[in-house]
Amino acid sequence: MTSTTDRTLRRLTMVAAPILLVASLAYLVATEASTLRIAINGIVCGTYLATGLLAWTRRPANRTGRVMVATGLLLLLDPLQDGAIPRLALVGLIATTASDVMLGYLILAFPWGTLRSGVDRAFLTVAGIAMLSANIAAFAGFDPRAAGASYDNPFLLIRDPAFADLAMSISRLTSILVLIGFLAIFAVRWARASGPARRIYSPVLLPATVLVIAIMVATILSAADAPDELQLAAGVTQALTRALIPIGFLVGLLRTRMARSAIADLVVELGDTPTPARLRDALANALGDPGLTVAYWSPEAGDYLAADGSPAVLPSEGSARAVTLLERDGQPIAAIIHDAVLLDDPGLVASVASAVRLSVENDRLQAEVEAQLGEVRESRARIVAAGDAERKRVERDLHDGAQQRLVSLTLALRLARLKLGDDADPEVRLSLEQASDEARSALSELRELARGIHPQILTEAGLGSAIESLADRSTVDVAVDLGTDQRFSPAVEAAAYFVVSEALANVAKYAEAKRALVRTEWRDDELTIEISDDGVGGAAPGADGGLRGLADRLSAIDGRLEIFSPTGGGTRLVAHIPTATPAAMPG
Amino acid sequence: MNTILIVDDHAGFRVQARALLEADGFVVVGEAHDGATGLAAARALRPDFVLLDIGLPDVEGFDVARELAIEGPPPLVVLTSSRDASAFGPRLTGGRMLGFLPKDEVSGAALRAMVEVA
Repeated sequence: MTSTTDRTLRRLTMVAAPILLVASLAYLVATEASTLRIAINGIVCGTYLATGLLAWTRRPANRTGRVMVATGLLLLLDPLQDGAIPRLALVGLIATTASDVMLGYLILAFPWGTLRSGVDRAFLTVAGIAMLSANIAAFAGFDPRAAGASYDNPFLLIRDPAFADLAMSISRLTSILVLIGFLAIFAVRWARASGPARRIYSPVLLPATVLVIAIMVATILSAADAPDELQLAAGVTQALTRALIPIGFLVGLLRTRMARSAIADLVVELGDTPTPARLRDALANALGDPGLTVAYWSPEAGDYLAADGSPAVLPSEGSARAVTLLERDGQPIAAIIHDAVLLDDPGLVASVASAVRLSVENDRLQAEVEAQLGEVRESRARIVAAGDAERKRVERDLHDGAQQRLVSLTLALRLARLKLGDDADPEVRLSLEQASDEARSALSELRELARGIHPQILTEAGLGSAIESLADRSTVDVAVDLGTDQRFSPAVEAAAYFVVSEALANVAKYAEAKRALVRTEWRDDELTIEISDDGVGGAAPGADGGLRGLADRLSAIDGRLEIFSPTGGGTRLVAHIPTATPAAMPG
Repeated sequence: MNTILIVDDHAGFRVQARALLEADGFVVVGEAHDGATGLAAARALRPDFVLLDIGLPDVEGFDVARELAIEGPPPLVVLTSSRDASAFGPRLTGGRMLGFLPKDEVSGAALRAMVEVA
């Protein structure tokens, strides 16, 4: 059926159903049926028609709504059985039997809207044929006059009280057997169902069980010729329980909607990058499946891995568990392993899947950003290390080249002065002495420059000696308190050295301090360098200042710099440098 | 107390140092261009002084000084470098050496001054 014809038919039914319901009730009024009968018929038929139309509108693809409407329409014909219009009594009987079969179909088809197992189909077919045959046979032997009624049965074929009794007994027995069959199917279905499946079955299966038992009781009471009051009570119970079935369907529908709102919560909850465990719990909660698990795709392993990293076992086709795979751009991301019954509401699983995709996508972006951050960190550490290596090379070049030449020049000038003797031209002697002084000054400046580029003492004698040498050369009185004489990686030693060097340079330039203290401490794989002075304070890391550069250099090896410099209260710089980080050991 | 061995890989420096030291009355008994030959020369020549470059091609001057100190009687070892003392810090103190002279300050007078201080 195309969706257009389906819609047309549905709209037609929406108009026709109330009219037919009113007609059915009008018939009951006209035949002077009891008010109770009229009320019960109205409630039962109205419930089926209204619920059926609702389900039909909501889920046009699911047959449930249409079948329920048909059941309601057939039930409208039930009053015809009373024989007020004798020829139509048979129509009423057949319609009622057919509505019973349809109700059976609805219950067995729930929640899929179609019969899934061959057993169900066979049972319903056999039951339908058996009941219809038995009822028609009974009707063929039914003589209203013999039962005290005042009309004739136009279909009375066998006018024999013995046959009538037998046919009626067979009809009742058939009913009882069919009802037992239903109970057996219900029991098996319930026993086999998992938690979430039971949650879905229960709103329909429970009233259906009550209904079947009520019909059985009514049938037995009728067969036993029980008192009228008792039979009436059983009939009312049966009719009202019948009305509960569509309501059960409604509840089932509502539960799905509640599950959808649970998914809305899920999206919110997954917003802040959940751990795999929290993701699993949230999903299990949203889908009402405590046994749900999530497996993540590992590109390295080429397989889905469970939360503990072991390869996940995905359920096979047709098992009680089903798997919903999440993909992004054709690449697998994760697999949700859940109860197969959840697939009966594809919308539900799809909503959950998109919620999870969103979250996993977030996680993936987060992981990507972190990976990029890690790369940036590593490359920053490499850049600093390369810079240090370059400084070392430049210092070495200065030492091997210009410094050697200046040394040689100085010695040559001294030799020349020696060879000249004391009785030489004083002007030449003076020139030589001046040249010699110039060469030595140049050498001294070159050494200072080389030390600024790379402190050779750091390589030669380590951080402690290098700090002491810095303190010795400072114009301020610097005390040194070395808490360790440990050697560290070149990157760590260089960073620590330049912290002290820059800090002492600042003390000399800006602090107006009388005294300064350099303290080192090595504990728990962290080197702490503290430089304090009694100067004017007010130091702050500018955008491109020396302190900013120090902070950058430190963070390149996962260290950090703290600056305490209240105005007028001296300055204290504290550098923390991890000494066990692999990033701090670039070679 | 005036014989001296010069151990340095720069031939130019050896020539200049020899001239300067001899001008101050020292007798340069030998020259060596690395640690190994320097050690051998010191054992063979038994000089009073060894002018020892720290940055030798095979070993550090410190290592040669340590070797020399084990064998008695040791010569007076004066370490030298084109870097100044601040590049070596505490490595220059202690040990069995007379002291350190930057290369540009090498002279017989400076050597004798060190002996007097010690």
